[in-house]
Amino acid sequence: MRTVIEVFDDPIKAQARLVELRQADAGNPRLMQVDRLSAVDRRSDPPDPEDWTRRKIADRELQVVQYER
Amino acid sequence: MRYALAIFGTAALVLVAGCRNRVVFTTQTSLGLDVSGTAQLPNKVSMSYNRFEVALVPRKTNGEAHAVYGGLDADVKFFAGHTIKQTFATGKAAMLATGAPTNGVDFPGARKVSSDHPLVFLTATTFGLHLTAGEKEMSPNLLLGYRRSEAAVIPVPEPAQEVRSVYADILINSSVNTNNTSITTNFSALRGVRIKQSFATGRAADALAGTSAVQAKLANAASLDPRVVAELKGKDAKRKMVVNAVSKDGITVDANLLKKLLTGSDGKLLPQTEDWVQDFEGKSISDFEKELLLEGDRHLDVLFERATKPE
Repeated sequence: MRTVIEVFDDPIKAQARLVELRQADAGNPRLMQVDRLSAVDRRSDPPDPEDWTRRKIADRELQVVQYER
Repeated sequence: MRYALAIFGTAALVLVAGCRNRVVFTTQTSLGLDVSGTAQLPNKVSMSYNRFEVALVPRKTNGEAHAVYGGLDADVKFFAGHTIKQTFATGKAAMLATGAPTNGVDFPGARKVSSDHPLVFLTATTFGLHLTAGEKEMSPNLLLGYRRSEAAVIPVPEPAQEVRSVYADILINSSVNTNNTSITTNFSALRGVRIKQSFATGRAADALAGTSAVQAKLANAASLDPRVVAELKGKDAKRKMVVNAVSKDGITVDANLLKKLLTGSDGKLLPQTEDWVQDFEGKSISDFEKELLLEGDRHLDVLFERATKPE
């Protein structure tokens, strides 16, 4: 079992993803809002390190969807 | 009482037909004034709409349910005009009636299947004034309105195959204020009551649930933002395009098509899809669709773009 994290700039896309994962019976999907990446960047499996860094520099409020596989 | 009769009727159908490897689907609808009771005294006077629907549907070997569809659209003003449209269908007919996709479905007739079990299909309709009375032992009954019963018992000799088609529809239009083309909105054209009802399983149910009216109802029930619903619909459509692009037969994944889709102009596979070709070669497209929904979601836009790009 591993934790998968997906990062979204758009709250609508994040919410849709959460609904989609629930409908697909993905393991324990959760939506979190973070304003500082340090809160989540220590977690496993960042989706794309380059993208992660770019977003961190932009310093925007992000939506994080997390589930287990 | 009518519900009890309908339930007993269905139970009788199941007992007669046996419930194993058979699709049993029945509906019963009544609308209007219904008086019944003993010969001495009417003990039931009903001025209402009643509908009963039941389907016993065995699972196909791929896990899908056989398609059945029962739809009713009635525009009614008691003691005035009626427009009633009713549809009853199973199998491919149910898919076509609801606009469901028929790709990848193993339909009867494609290959020889040995079966000597008969298909039983009946409808019975009463419209207007129907009065029965007789000897002391026989209960009198008066119906002023509309009553329809529909039932089908269809054997399923091959569990992998979709159930055989039956289709029946009826349109009754007794009003001068409306007609069969005006029965398209959700409002009563007669300033009476508008009743719209659907009952479906399998792909027919999927197609119905995909219609905008039903999506809006589901979204309201789940308190979803309409923008979230639009996003979900958009992603679902993209996934369907990608899944169709990796299959030749609409049932299994073709390794060459999948590899071609995953490979970019630089000749490299998309990140973390290195095992996909090996993992999904010859597997069901529904398995691939699930992987696309979970791990493959990050590549959905790229894959959709490649799948829809002209050669």
